[in-house]
Amino acid sequence: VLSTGLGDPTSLVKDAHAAGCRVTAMVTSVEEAILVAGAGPMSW
Amino acid sequence: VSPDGEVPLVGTLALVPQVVDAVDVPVVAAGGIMDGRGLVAALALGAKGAQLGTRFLLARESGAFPAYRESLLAATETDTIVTRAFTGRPARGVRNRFVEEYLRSGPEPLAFPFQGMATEDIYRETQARGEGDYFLLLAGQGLRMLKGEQGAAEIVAELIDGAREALGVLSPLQRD
Repeated sequence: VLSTGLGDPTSLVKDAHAAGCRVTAMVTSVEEAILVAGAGPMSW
Repeated sequence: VSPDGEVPLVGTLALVPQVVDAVDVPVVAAGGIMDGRGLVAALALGAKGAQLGTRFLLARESGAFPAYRESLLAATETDTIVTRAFTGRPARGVRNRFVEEYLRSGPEPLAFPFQGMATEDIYRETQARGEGDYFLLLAGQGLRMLKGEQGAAEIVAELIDGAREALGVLSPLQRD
């Protein structure tokens, strides 16, 4: 699992998924959540 | 950002259900969750789980050094501040001498991740001295719910027991 907390992880999501990682991202606003979720499915 | 450096953030109770409604990925709630009551609340808001940070800082397995642990036990919810002084991004921590002096000094924190890089030496040195005055004492607002040092497994067991107890309180609300 790649867990991100402070930066914008969207540029990493594709590579992380290709490497077999699941990705979680900490967000502090609805807008940020929509941005991160739009980077690709992060389903468990 | 207000003149004293504080950053307004949306509280967990308001943020979680709005995020759950806005995205189609699993949401894990974090922020102010310290025990089973918080876990049940997070699930009731639509989260698939809860992430606890501050509660586990006092776990025996935690890497938090003694002065950090002592600062957490001595502080209350009103001793914390959300500031960009630690890393360049808003983060909540105990308001210590580093925060006070940084905010008083005037300059805006650098953008993430440069603020953290610029202050890293200070954090490393104060930790080496066993002091918390100039460390980034990241912490949530549920500090009065800390119970001193516990094993991580003990904390998890308490969370589960507490959640069951909270669900018991709610059970009269369930329909037959």
